[in-house]
Amino acid sequence: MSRLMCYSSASACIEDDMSENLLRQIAAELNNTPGAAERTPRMAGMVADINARIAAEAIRVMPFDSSPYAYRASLAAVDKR
Amino acid sequence: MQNAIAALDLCELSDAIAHGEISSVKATAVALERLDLIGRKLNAVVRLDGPRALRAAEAADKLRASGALLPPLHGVPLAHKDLFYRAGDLSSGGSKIRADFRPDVTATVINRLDAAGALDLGRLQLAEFALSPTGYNEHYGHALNPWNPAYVPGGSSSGSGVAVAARLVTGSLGTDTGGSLRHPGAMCGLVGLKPTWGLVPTDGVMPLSASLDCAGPLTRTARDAARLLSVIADRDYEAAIGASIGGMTIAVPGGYYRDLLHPIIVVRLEQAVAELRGLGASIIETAPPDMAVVNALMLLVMTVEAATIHRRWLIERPQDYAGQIRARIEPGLFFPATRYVEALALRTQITQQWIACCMGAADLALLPAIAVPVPTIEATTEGGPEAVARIIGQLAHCSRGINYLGLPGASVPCGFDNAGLPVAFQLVGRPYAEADILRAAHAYQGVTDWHHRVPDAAELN
Repeated sequence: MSRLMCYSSASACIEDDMSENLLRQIAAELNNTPGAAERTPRMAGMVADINARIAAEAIRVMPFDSSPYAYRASLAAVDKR
Repeated sequence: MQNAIAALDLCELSDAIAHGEISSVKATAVALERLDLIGRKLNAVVRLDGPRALRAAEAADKLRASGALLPPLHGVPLAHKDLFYRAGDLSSGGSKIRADFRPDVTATVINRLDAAGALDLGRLQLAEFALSPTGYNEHYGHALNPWNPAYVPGGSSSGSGVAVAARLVTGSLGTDTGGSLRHPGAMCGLVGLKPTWGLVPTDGVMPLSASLDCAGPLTRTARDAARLLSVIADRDYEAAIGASIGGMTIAVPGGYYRDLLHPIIVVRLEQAVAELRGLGASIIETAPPDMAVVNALMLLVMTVEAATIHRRWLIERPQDYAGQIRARIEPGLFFPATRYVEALALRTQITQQWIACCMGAADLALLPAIAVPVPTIEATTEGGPEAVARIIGQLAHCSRGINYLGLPGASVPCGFDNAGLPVAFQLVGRPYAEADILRAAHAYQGVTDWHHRVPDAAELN
């Protein structure tokens, strides 16, 4: 359970401590999908790679003053209609 | 007479019905018969509602006879991907899980087509839950490519691509979350237009990933796409479609977009670029940014949003998904919420970076639609999960990133490969540049005849 607490409290932890066992716990205990938990071995590499790339990119370029809702506004700003 | 009607494209048929040269009843009867015979042979049809369509066609002919002002698609028979809801009608989304689902709402785009006078003949085949670039559907079988039934038609809007290419209907709505309009467009020899994200309403369309899903048309010509898009987006894309592309600048990005290119695709793209240059467009070469990051962002957003809406069924009915489909959804269960928010928050600047790198000052970017020749069904179904994942990655190499960026893009047929299957390029524009894309595609189709070629399966030759 300590790994789950680590996951929920500090996302950076997941890069350092990603393991099939952790993913199995996330699937089974946080998402209630035991079937997915059994299939973690084939997904672990892809999940770790995508997670690491985006975590690194966000640290590198994402400003503090950002919002997940800004994209829609940016589209509206260039719509000439 | 039947073959002559089936040979018409959407604008030609629409104009012929409006002028009384062909009745809507006749056009509808021809489309229904061809969907029933050829469409079912190619496994492109999910369900048809012939009696309702013929009643609507009779009403359309009466209205025309009354001298009333006619809407733009008056009496034109169409059929759409089985993701578009009509209240009370079945809508399975290509799945076993929703085989009996009847929505209580009608999609806004279907309402807009109704208001424009189009007739709705029924629903067409697709990949399970719109989740395969090949059109893979373990429950209801593969739709078959009309150019050669041993090959995939592209997906996920597979039935739409097959039905338009085989001249069963003149146009069809599909959806595109990672290439699902552009793949069948490219593999069946059609214009598959993915609009700017948010331009076309997606309410009443079975979702896959709300931040990426786009509804759009599959048609034989750019002009047809413009007519359908004008209706479903409620804007005019036809008025300027015939304008010259002299003075337009088209960027051709290298690097990542050349990584997997098969030699025959290289040849066809070079020929297409030469044609566009001959039409007066200036061609410049550009270099894309780190596409591994863009693809990671797209995959994270898609899998997290898909896993969120599918989680109940992943718990209760995991056995009712094909393994290949479930394997594409489940990774979304594992990403931390912080990654998902970061992926959405980064979207504006990553999009601006892609435009700056790939387009620079150009009006459009020209990319491969698919980097490799159309694969056989066997090549995409035999072998383990790694082999399937590899071929999915190849097919979506040039398309899926565009969905994260939210940009408009369209497949434009530009010849055939060594096996006789279609090859296409992809035009991508800045947000809301659909008119520029359609103008360039229309100009290109004005000096080429790929869109006039008819597959044997259409039984018109």
